[in-house]
This record gives sequence, C-alpha cells and structure tokens, in this order.
Amino acid sequence: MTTESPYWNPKMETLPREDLRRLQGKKLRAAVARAWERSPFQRRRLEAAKLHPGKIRRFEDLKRLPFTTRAEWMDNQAEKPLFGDLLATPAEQAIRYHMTSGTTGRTPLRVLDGRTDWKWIAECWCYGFHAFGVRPGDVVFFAFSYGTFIGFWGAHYACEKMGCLVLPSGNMATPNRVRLIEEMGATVVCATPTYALRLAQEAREMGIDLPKGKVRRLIVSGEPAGSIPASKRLIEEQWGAVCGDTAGMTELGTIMMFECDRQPGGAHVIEDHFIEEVVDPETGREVAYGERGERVVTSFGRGSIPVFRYRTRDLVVKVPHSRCSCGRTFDLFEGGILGRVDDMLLVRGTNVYPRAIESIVREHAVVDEFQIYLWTAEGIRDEIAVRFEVRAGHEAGWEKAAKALHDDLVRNHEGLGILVERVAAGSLPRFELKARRVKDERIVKGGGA
Amino acid sequence: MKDLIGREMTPVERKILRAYDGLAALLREPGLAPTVVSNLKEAASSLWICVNELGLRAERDDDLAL
Repeated sequence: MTTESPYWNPKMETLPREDLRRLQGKKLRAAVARAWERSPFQRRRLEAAKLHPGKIRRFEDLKRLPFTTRAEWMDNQAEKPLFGDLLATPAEQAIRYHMTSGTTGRTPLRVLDGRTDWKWIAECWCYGFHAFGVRPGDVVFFAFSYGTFIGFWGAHYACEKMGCLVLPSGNMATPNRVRLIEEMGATVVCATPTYALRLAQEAREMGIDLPKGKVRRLIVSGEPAGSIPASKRLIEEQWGAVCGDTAGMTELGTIMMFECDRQPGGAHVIEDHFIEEVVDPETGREVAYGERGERVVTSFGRGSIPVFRYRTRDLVVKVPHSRCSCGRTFDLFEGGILGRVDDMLLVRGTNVYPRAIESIVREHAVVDEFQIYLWTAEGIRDEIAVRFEVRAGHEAGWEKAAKALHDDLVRNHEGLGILVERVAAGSLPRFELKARRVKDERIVKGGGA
Repeated sequence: MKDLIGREMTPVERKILRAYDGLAALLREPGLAPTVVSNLKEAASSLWICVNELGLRAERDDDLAL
C-alpha cells in the first residue's frame, strides 16, 4: 500500500519544468475564473485592469495581472470591516480566524479559512516535513503559543496527518518546555531560530546535554536566521541535530518554501501550489536567476483567499532546481528569505541590513544574544551600536572577540563606525515568535526599521 | 481521461476521482443527518486535497461548502 519515497508528492515534486508550467497555467486559469465570480475585491481589480478571466489561460498570462499590495488589502479591510470583500467563500463557512503578527503594517491583516483550506495548509507543511526526513513515529515538539498568529498551526496538523506524535507546548514556560522535550523523547523540535537557541540556553542552565538527547531534527520558521549559515550552524551545534528552514506567511496561510534533507543552502518553492516571481522592488520588472529582488507570490490552494501577484516585500534570490541534488524540480530561494525590502536601515548614507549583521555576529561563539541600537547623537548625527550579551563560560574571550566583531562589522559596512558594546547577561529581550533585535531611537529614521 | 498536465490518468487516479465524485454526490442528497453531513464533508475535503495534489482537477465544487 505504501512505499518509502523521499518526496511527499513524487508526481509533482519531480515534474519536468514544462509540465510544471502547464499545471500552473491550468490552476491559474481556474483560480482567476473563480475569483472573478466569488471575490468582489479581485473582480474590481481585474475589471480595472480591463481583464476578463478568459484572457488568463496560460502561465505566460500571469504577467497581465496587476500586482496586489498589502496596503490595498489593509485598505479594503478598513473600508469593509472586518475582512473586506476579498474572501471567495462566505464568512459563515469559515472554521478559523487568524491575523498577522504585526511586525509590519499599521493594522493586522485578518483572515478566515474553511475546512478544505486547513487541509491544504497542512498539506503544504507536509512537503517540508517529509522532505527534511520527518516520518510517522517521530515525536514532534512545537514551541508555539497556539494563538491568533497562524505560525505553526498548520505544521501541527501536518504532523498529526503524517502519523507523528505531537507535543504541543502552548503557554508553557521555557524550563517546562525543555523538560517536556527531554521526558517525552522528542525527535523533532519546531521553533523560531531565536527560540531554538533560547531553549538550548535554558537546557544548558538546567544541566541537560541536548546533543546527547533524542532530538535529531529542528524545523525552524518565522525569521530569516534559519538560512543564515552561522545561525544554522550554532543551532545545530547546540542541539546536536540538523536544522531545516521553512518560510510562510499569514497572507498565504502556510509555507511556500522548505529546505530538503540535502541542505542545499536554500529552500525549494512549492511550485505546484504557488508561482513565485522575483522582481526589482523599484521597477517591478522581473530579475534573472541569481539576482536579488522582491518575492511576488500567486497562490492557488487557499479557496477562501485568492492571492494574485502579491508583493511580499521579502528579499530573495531565486536559483534553478539543479542547484540541489535531491531530484526535485522545484526552484530554490538561495539562503531562504534574505530580509525585507523595508528592513534596510540607512545610517549616515550606508545601507545596514539586520540579517547581514546577524550573519556576522553568529560567526562569534562568545555571543549569546545581541541587539542593534540606533540613536541620534548631538541632535543630528546617526549612531549605531551592536550590544552583546556574552555566553556563559566565554567571558575571558570577550575583549579579543569584541575587536574582531568590530572589525568584521566595519569592514562589511563600508567603514561605517559601528560601536560594539557588552551588556549584562539577561538584559536583552528574548523572543518566542519573530525576533525584534533592532531598537531604533533616532529622531529621524534614515530607513524603515 | 487526462490530468491537468495533459497526461492520461492512471487507473488509481481515476478511482480517486470517482471516489471524490461519489462523496460529492452523497453530500448533495437531501435530508442527511448532521453527523453524516459533517463526516462526509471531512472525507470529501480530504479527497479533494488528494485530487488537487495529483493535478486531476482544478475547479472546486463550491456548492458543497467544503
């Protein structure tokens, strides 16, 4: 009845590219026709673009569709509270409410999903879990609060569907979570990258040697750090387990990319359910393989919320599927999500990306936690400092490391003066969900924070 | 009978599609008990994912309120 396959959906994950394009074209045609009939928001946008669904027949027709922005979506919800008129199924058919976590945007986006939407949401997560080696019988721990942030909800259902034993930790405190992982013999841990490190720190303080435990895989999501090599290495060292990255968003309800067990330095796009374009954030023109640009996503699977050419503001670099040896024909985003278009901080004319700082910082073993702090000096001058907590047992190496950190940071930022400060252990905030390590107290901010 | 890619469906794929259509037809029967409706919807919804995953059909049966 069953055969062991490295692929969750072998038919689609190994489809020749030309067949994949044909499939995407058919799904796009059906999704646009349905949105025209059922989503007033999408119908208005199509009419404004003078597009009848009959004009969207093939993959190549995708570019006829206008971009969708988060601002349009939010404005629509503000004009027609609570959900706007984007929904393609009646609100009464929904079985669950969620909203965005609020790291960007003025107000959260609110979403409703129906029964089949939730089965599809879990299905997309299954691609990622299976590809990273999770199998029936695994014991999967979720460091997740199970609230209105959609986060790992779909992953939880995916693991139940796959036949794993799920350990939900809800609002448990960190020490209790570590204890549960240990007592129940969890083999897989799901968390944000930051919180995976926080759990490891707690385990050390409790005298638990994680690398000698049963955890073999960590599946992380919610922050770019999951694909930053130094951060991933740190997580893997502290847990004695392999770490796989995934990325999703509330606007889609699920993950649209996953790292396979070959760990190719990037994440495969689930291309039978999404079309991912990469465009120049300024001009909107598509960029070539290997060039950095903004993710623009089209989704077929979520019946309640049709999404066409959504400007995500995520920065990515797409590379061909041949970059990975796993046999999937799904292209990859090299390095996962590289940051956000509006994450860039402009400091005295120099572009500073928090992810770039993190990739430098995590190369240094003395660092336990850090924060990027910006302020206005003498009422006019932008200043930037990176504050560090030193890892227990590494205090003696701090002075040498501080100089190396300073030199690395300055060299990678065109000589920009970046101060390096040590702060007391435990004084910086810790995060369970998306980490917010930028504290920008400048009077006039030179770039979005 | 061809899938969305244009390939001939396999015998198993045809059976999956028939099973889904059978459940959909059952759900359209009048006078079903709440327990029957709920459980048929769960089953039909799961089978729809299967149909969709294999690229057998793209159009949804919105009248079933799945």
